[in-house]
Formats: sequence, C-alpha cells, structure tokens
Amino acid sequence: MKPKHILLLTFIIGLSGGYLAAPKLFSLLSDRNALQPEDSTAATAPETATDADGEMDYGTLIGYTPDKTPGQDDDKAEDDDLASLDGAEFTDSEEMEEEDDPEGENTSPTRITTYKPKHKPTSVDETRKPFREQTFTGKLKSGNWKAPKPLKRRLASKLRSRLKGVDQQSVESFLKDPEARLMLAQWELLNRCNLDVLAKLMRNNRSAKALEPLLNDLEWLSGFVYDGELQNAEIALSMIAHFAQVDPNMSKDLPLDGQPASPWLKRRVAGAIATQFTRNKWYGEAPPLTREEIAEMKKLGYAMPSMPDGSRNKDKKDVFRAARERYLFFAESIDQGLLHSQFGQLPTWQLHFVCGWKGHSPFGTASTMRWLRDNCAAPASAYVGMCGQVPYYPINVYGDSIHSEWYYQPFDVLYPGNFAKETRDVGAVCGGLSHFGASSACSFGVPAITMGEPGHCAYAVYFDGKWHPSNSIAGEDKRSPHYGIWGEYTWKALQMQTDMYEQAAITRDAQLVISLAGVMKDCRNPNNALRLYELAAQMQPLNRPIWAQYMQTASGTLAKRPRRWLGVNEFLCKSIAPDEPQHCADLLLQTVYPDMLKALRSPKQKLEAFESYFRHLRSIDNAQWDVSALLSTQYQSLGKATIYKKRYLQMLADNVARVPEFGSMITWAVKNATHESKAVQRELQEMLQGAIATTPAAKDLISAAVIRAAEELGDIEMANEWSKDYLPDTAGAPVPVSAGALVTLSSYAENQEYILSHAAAIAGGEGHITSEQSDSSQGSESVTLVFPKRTNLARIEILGHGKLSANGYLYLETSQDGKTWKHLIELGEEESAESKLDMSITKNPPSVRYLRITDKGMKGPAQINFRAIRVYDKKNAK
Amino acid sequence: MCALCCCVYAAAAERAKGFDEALSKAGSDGVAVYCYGPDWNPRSVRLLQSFWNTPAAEEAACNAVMVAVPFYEDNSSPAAQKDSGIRGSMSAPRFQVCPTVLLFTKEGHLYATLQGNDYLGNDAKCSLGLKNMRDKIHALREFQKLMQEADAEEKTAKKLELLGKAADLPIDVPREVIDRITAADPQDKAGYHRRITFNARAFMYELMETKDGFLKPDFEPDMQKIRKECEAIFKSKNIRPRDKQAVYNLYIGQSRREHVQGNRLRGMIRKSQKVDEHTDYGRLSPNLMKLWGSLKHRPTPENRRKNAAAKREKARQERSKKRAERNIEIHK
Repeated sequence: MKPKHILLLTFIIGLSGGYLAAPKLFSLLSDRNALQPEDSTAATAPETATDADGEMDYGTLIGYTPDKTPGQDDDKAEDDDLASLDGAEFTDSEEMEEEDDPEGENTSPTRITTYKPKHKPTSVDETRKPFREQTFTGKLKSGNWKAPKPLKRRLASKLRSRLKGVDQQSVESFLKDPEARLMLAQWELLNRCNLDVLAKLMRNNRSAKALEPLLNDLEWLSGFVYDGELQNAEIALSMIAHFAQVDPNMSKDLPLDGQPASPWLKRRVAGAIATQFTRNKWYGEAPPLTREEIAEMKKLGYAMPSMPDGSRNKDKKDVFRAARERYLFFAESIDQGLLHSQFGQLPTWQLHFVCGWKGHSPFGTASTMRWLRDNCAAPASAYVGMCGQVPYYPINVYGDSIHSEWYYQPFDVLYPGNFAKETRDVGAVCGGLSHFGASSACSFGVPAITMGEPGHCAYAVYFDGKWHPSNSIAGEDKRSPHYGIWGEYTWKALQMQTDMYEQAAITRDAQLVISLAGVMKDCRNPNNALRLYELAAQMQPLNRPIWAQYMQTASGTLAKRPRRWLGVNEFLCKSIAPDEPQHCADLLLQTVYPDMLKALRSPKQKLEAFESYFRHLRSIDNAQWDVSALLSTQYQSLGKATIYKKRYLQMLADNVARVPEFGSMITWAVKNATHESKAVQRELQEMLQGAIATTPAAKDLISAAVIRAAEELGDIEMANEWSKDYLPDTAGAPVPVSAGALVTLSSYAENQEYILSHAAAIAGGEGHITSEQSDSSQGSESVTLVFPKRTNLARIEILGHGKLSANGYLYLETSQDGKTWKHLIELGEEESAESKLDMSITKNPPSVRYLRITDKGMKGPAQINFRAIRVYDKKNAK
Repeated sequence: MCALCCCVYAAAAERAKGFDEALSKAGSDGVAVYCYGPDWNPRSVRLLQSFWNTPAAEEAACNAVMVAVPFYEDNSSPAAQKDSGIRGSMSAPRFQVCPTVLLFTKEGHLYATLQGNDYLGNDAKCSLGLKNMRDKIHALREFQKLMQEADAEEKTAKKLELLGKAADLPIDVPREVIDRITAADPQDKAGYHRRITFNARAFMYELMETKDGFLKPDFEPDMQKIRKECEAIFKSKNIRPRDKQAVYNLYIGQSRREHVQGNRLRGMIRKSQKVDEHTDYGRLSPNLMKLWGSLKHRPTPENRRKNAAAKREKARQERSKKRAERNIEIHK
C-alpha cells in the first residue's frame, strides 16, 4: 500500500470516528438545510488537488472557473471540532419567526423599537477598541475549511439556533457571546469567498496551517471581514497564507497582556495588505504576468485563483509579488521599530489606508517606501506640509513638459526603483507633490490618502481623529479621495466612514447584525432578515452598506406589499434625510425607487412617499449636488394625470419657505414645467407668487430660482418679469442697449444674490455675473447676452471684479442665431489682466442678437466674474 | 604651531542642555544639533544612544557644542512641556524630519542639514553621519579661514577670488558673503555675484517666455535665441559647472524637439557631460545618449500634409482676426 493510500484510509477512519464521537454532529447533519441534496465531490476529492507532500495542485487551480452553483456541497467532511463548540440544540428557524402576514401590511418597520446601545462608548480608548469582549480564540480546525460549503451551512444552522429572536434584546444577548461573534465572522468570510477556490486553497496543508490561527482569532477575522473593501476574499486569504510562509513570525499566538505585540500587529497588517491588493480595481491596473513569472510564482507557492471577471490565469495580473514586497516592508519596519509610535495602535480600518497605500503606483513600491520611511520620518501633523519638499516644475531642465514621456525618463537611471527621490530631485506638479506627501506619511505608518480635485490633485493626512486636507484648492464637495471603504469616493463619504469607524463598538455590532441578516436571508427567511437589517439601520443610520443590503433584500421580498414599502421609505427618510439629504436621495434613487415605484400603483401613494422625503428635510445641506435627478424621477413616476403633477409642484412650493436651499428645486420645477401644458405652467407661477405672498422672506430665493430657470431656458420675457424688482436706479445716465437682454452663463456660481443682480449688471448698474471655475486650465467658461432683437454693437464696456480674467485670455464673439459664431476680438494676457475693457467698434459695428464672452483658462481654471457688461449702440455710444 | 592647531582641532566636543546654552558656549565650530522625536520616532530615540551620545560623535563634532533637541508630536504632553526650553531660540526646521543633524555657526546661521539615512546612514552608529558631520565642520573651518584671508587682503581681485572660493564650499553660505562681494565689486565686473546668485531655472523660464513653467499654447521657441543664450552661459567663466549643464540641457532638449538627432545630438550631450562628469547631469549623460541618440524622426507624407494644412488654417484665422480687429479701438 502506498503512503497516499494509507493517508486516505486514515482520513476515512478519522471521519467515521468523528461521527461516532460526536453525537451532536448528527443532529447538525440532520438539520433541515443540511439534508438538502448535495454533491459529494469535494469530500471524495480533497486529495486529488493535493500531492503527497501536501503541495497544492496548481494545474487544477489555474484551470478553475468560478462556480457558486448551490447544491454542489459536501457534508461528509470532518467537523468534530465544530460540533464540540457547544451543546446547543438546533431549532427550526421558523419557530422564531412571527406569524407570517401574507400581505405584509401589518409588519411595518415602525414597530421596531429604537435601538439603544447599552454600552455607549465613553472614552477614546473604548471607541477605538474593536470589541467590548475579551479577545477570543476559536477551536475550529483547518480540516473543516477544506469543505467550506457544508461548513457554511453548519455555521448558519448553529447561528440560527443561538439567536432566540430578532428583537433588540435577543440580538444584543446573542452578540454578547464572543463565540457566536466568531462564528458569524467565519460565516461572513465564507459568504464572501468563492468556496471552490477556498477549498482548493485550504487543501494545501501549509496554507491551511498558516491560516488556522487567523481564522480562529475573533478580532483579526472581524477586522479582515468588516473593516475594508473585501472584494476577493479567497485570493486575499491565499496571499495571507503566503505572507505567513515567508514570515513565520506572523502567526504566533497573541500575547495575553493585551499589548499589541509585533506578531499580532503583523497579522492585521497582512490582512489589510491582502484586502487592498485584491480589490477589483487593482487587477486591471497592474501589468500582466509573463509565463516565466507565473512559473516562478508557482514555485514560490502562490495560489492562482481565477479573476473575478472569469479571465484565465495567463491574463492574471501581478498583484501577488507587489503585495509580498509590501508585506515584507511593513514586517521589517515593525520588527525593527522604524515606524511611527502610533502605528501599533491604529485600528484595522486605518491600516487599510496605510498598508494598502497605492500598490499599483510607482510611489507604492517597497524601495520607494523604504526611502521615504528612512528620509522623511516626521510627526503626523507635519505631513500636511511634506509635499513642499518637491519643487513645483511643470517642465524639467530639458524643457520637457510633465505630461511628456521625457520628463522623468532621462533621470530614471540615477534613481532605480526610487520614484519618490526622483520626484523630489527632478520636480513635479500637483499630482507628484500630493503623492509624495501622502506616500511619505503612509511609509512611516501615518494614514494618508490622495484626492482628485477639478484639474488638481490634493491629499489628506489623518491625525487628531480627523482628515486634514493638504495641497488642496477646491471645496469639500469637489474632493474625490482615491479610496473609500464603501467603494464610494467622496470627501463626504470619507468623513462618514471615519465617523462611523470611530464608533468602533456600535459599528462592529451593526456589521455583525448585517451578517446575521445575511444568514437569515441565506436560510430563506427574508422577513427575519429584513427585521435584522432594520435593526442594524437603527443602530447606525448613516452606515450606507446596511441600507444597500437592506434594500436589496427588500426588493425581492416586498414586491407586492405597498404599505410595507411606504413604511420602509418613511423609515429611511426619517433616519437619514434630516442630516444627510444627499445620501438619502442617493439611496432612494438607487435602492428604493426602482422597486418601490413598481409596487406603488396609485400616484396618491407615490405622492405620500415623496412627501416623506421633503417633510423630513431640514436643509439641502450642500447645494452643489444635483437634486434634479431625484425630482425628475419622482415627477415622471406620477404618470400623465395633471392633478397629481400639480399637487407635486404645490408640495415643492409649500416647502420653499421652510427650507431656504429649495431654490434649486424651484429652478427644476420651472424648467420642467415647460414640457407641460400652459395651464400647469400658469398654475406653477401662481403657486410661486402665492408662496411669496405667504412668506415674503422667500421672495429673493424664489425669484432667483425662477430667473435662473428662465436664463437656462432662454426665456427673456420670464427673466425680465421676475427681475423688474431688482433693476438699478440709473437716473440721468445713458441706458445701455443691453438692458433687458438675457444673461446666460455656461455654469452658475451657487449664490442666489448673484443671479438676482444679473439684470442690474447689464442695465447700467453693477452686480455679479459669475460662473463657477472650470475643472481645469484646459476648460473654458462663458457668458452670453441674448438681446430681444438685433442690436447694434458700437461700444462694449466690461467691468471685472479685479482682473477680467485671472488665468487666461478673453474672446468676444457675436452671432445672429446662437449657433454660428463670428470672432470679434481676442484680449491677450495683459488686456485680460486689466479690471476694465472699454472698446469701440469704429467702422461697421455689427448688428447681432447674441454676444458671447469666453474665458479660456490658460494658466489655471477659467471663470467669468464680471461686475457689469454694458453694450451701447450708435445712438448712445458716447 | 601646526601641532598645536591639530591638538586644538582634535579636542572632543562639549555638550549643552539647550540650544541657547550651546550657542553661548560655541566657538568657531559652532553648534551641532541632533533632532529626535521622543513620542513618535523610536528609531531616532535609539540613535540618541547609539550615535549621538557616543565618543565617536563627540570626535566627529570636533569643537562644536553638541545638543540634542526633542520634537514632540503632542506638544501639550507633560514631557513636551518639561523639555520646551531645550529648543530655545532655534527656529523650527521647515520639515520636522527626524533623525536629522543640524549644524549652526556660532552666530546661529544654519549651514548644513544632514537629514535621514541619505546623510546619516542606516547603521546604528550612523557612520555616514559621522563622516558628513566632520566634513561639514571642516568645510566651515575652511570657509572661516577664507573669510579671514579675504578680510586681510587689500587687492580687490584677490579678495573677490577668496570670497568666491568661500561661496563655492559645500555648505549653505551666509548672505553676508554675497553682500561683501557686492560691496567689493558693485558692478560685478569679476562676475562672482552672478556666479553665486545665478538661477538656471529662472534663466530657462525667461527663454521659454513663462513665469511659472507653464508654456503658452501658442509659444514657438526661437531656436537661434536659445542657442545663442545657452552657448553664452556655457562659455562663461563665472557660472558654476552644474548651472552651465542645466542651461545647456535646455538647448539639448529643445534641439531634440526640433528633431536634431543622431551624432549631432549625442555630441551636444557629450559636450554637456564634459563640463563635470560627477554632477547628476554628467552621470545621466551616457544613458541620455542611448535614449535620445537613437531617436529617429521621419515625418510621414500624411503628417507633412497635416502640418501644412494646419499652418494654412492658422494663417487664415490670423488674417480674419486682423481684419476684424482693425476696426476696434480700445480705450485705456
């Protein structure tokens, strides 16, 4: 008998012994779900993917195609360890479910009492600590993971049996048990993995041995599963297994004194690196592996699972090598004590920012980070100025532009593998400066992130409990951080995530409740799943992933339950709209409306749902976001019945006085009304006049909104009608022919007073004809004057607020039809830098209907910012 | 006498508890400051013992007064409050990087910054840092000696030569040197002022008609002017070799953009390299000759047609603009 056969026999005997020795396992296997028809391939073939030395059969792995088809599980794997966890009885999940209401009309989310956490964080230390319980280590042997599908089912069954109900008290009681928490995290991990790939990984003895302590470590596993954007969990695990092989110290047991000793920290670092390097986005940006590299990686023992997009191994990207280098860099830095003292105390979510720093960028190579760590180590707060080490040179010493291939290439030979030093010595523009600043912080263990801004790149450093922007030129609403744990890359989302993770205990509980809901969902118990999602949402209303999953479940469950949908809608609006109106609108549009509007057949019910959003709104928070998408969706869903449309518009008009920022909604309403009948348009005007009569304070707001709509529509009559109260007193002075024209801007600065002053600024008075700044120096901004009739341009006077153009040239053009434009004059750098232009057309002044003034930003963003534009014809030109 | 001098110079450095105390005690070798981060940078704290507080460091610091200055992350902590007097009148460095050794003259002028491993080395004893510190202090002595000789010198030409030599030493010379050169030679006939203050990048921006490095979209370089100006700088005796190379690099780059290629371009790069092979520009020249020397520009007939059409269109637009603007009068 060959050794391989002896092993197989031992394995089978072990299995039988396990059954005999664990009667509780029998009850587990007799559980309803566990008795579903299954495929026994995984149990009979564990050895087929493993050779005699326990090495993984890479040929099998490489040829693997992801397949998550249910019902191909194996329930014969050994699980005596799992059965020995406790002696709980396994109950039918339906027992804890309330009596089902076929219509669902009686189960409104409002029945759930508000979540009151009993352990509110009281100090910084407590909020930073991921768990309220002591650290817990499970006993699940690596053998169980070799057959992950049955393991997942058994965990689900066990979790259901421990949960006595879906009310707050039962859930809290459940969460007090660290063992239950560990099982939940293990289930969540399995839920996120491609189980076939995971099975192959765990059949490799070395990998299984390396991963076993981690998968039983409650704190590590929870951090790995919940504190980052874990997208390809099984690939991440194979990376971690490799890290453990190249660094045997990584998997040493936790010290018991609670101090984060080096091995404990390195486990979390490994998890953060693996999570970040296996994000979907990074695969596409890394270069493909060569045949030789694949062969080398096989020798080194890398698992090579399929890509999420199903592409084969020959197209796999080189993330493993970069990840290993990154891990070794941090392992070496930790072992030698070369990082910031606070690094050991960083919570796992912050490690994702530090250790996962741009692995696909030349600023993220190990050699670059090593140089930065050793030459740019500074206190955390000093990193906001670290970018100043790099000189701002748009062209290099050879005169080549930063955008050309030759900017850095001649110097590469002097700085092999050290892009940071090369940048510091050769120079860079905003992108290089910001990457240098953020990279130097991360290399020394301080969280930092780069951010996109219109035509610019900035960065932010985390210290004193918040993100500090640096090298930033734009407002908060225009910053797009290059990473976010939710996959949402806005400054607002980054702040929300930070706030959320700062409340570590509640966040972790909410995450576990979501997993619990996932268990319920997986066990085909959607009603309980919904109740748990609702509970999680109440625990942490601003946690976006909760809502996304909640609504995903609701869409399949509440298809024909309109009252229940209204309850969900009300719950969402009440929870989020007051503080985060944009966030709420996004969730409504993306997750609620697609299904709810199908379920609500009556426009009356729809109006009720829409009204809920406006009723809970305190302000629009930030006028920059595009509210029209929400309004258009709502309005169009009402169908063709005029009565409901009128009611909808009335609802907007009624809310104007209450929420000042409603102006953008009025603009939308006026513009939208042009597609309606004259009666609707007239009625809307009357509603708005009525709103002004009821609340005079809202006059400016409404007028500005209507004038802006008129300008965007090109409706001179409406603009003049609503502007007449804002005209200047120009007694005695010659009235320019531009008075009564229509001002239209390519973009609008969000200031209602500016729009109200447009009429004055072209009628001899002064005001603000001001656009937004263009996104980049290549962009342009313009203002167009539309005259009521053909007008003779004998003299044009333009007054600026400061320079006529801050960064570029001004171009004046004329047109008869607004489509074909004729060049009039170009103002060069010097003339554009003046505060005033006064020009006369001495010979054959053109007679036109349109005059357009365009700022083409050359050295920076373009912006129209005029105090007045006055056009005179031949008669009053002097 | 020489033996006496050697004895004086060989004496180990004195230590002080604070920067101000060090300045008051400082002799001609000035003050050597070790910057470390007690509450955030464990490595710099370890180096305090293994490098700074060793006889080897005292020896390398020559006669400079040594002082260790802590930079805290949390300035409100009790430890930071306790140590707040150590820094005294020392201005905070622009980048609070630790470990760093700062070298000051006895007047308090910062003349050398040895920041991070590039200057201190990565071993526990900072062998490279010891060498650099010694070299810089010796350069300071040389500087002081040259300045004394310049003071004693009566002939203007010789005086300027000595001052020029002092300014070329590998330390950040005080502004005083430039002032003294200006006083001795207000017209800068000898060219030392220009040599010290010449800014290659500013010169380059002027040639490229830009103030901030962003080229105008319609900028068309005048090759004749660039060649003439760059050659003039290249031939000038009063420009430092690296600055000469920097300026000549612009001419090389512009020539490449104008499709100069092959041996001619390689010859230009070699010419720049010969000025000083040890500067970064000198060291990268062989690679540059490989990179650019093999470039071949052969415009295709299609490109030629496109370029000609673009030129015609541009000329047409110009004519049209001029016609329109002929009738416009701008009032100032």
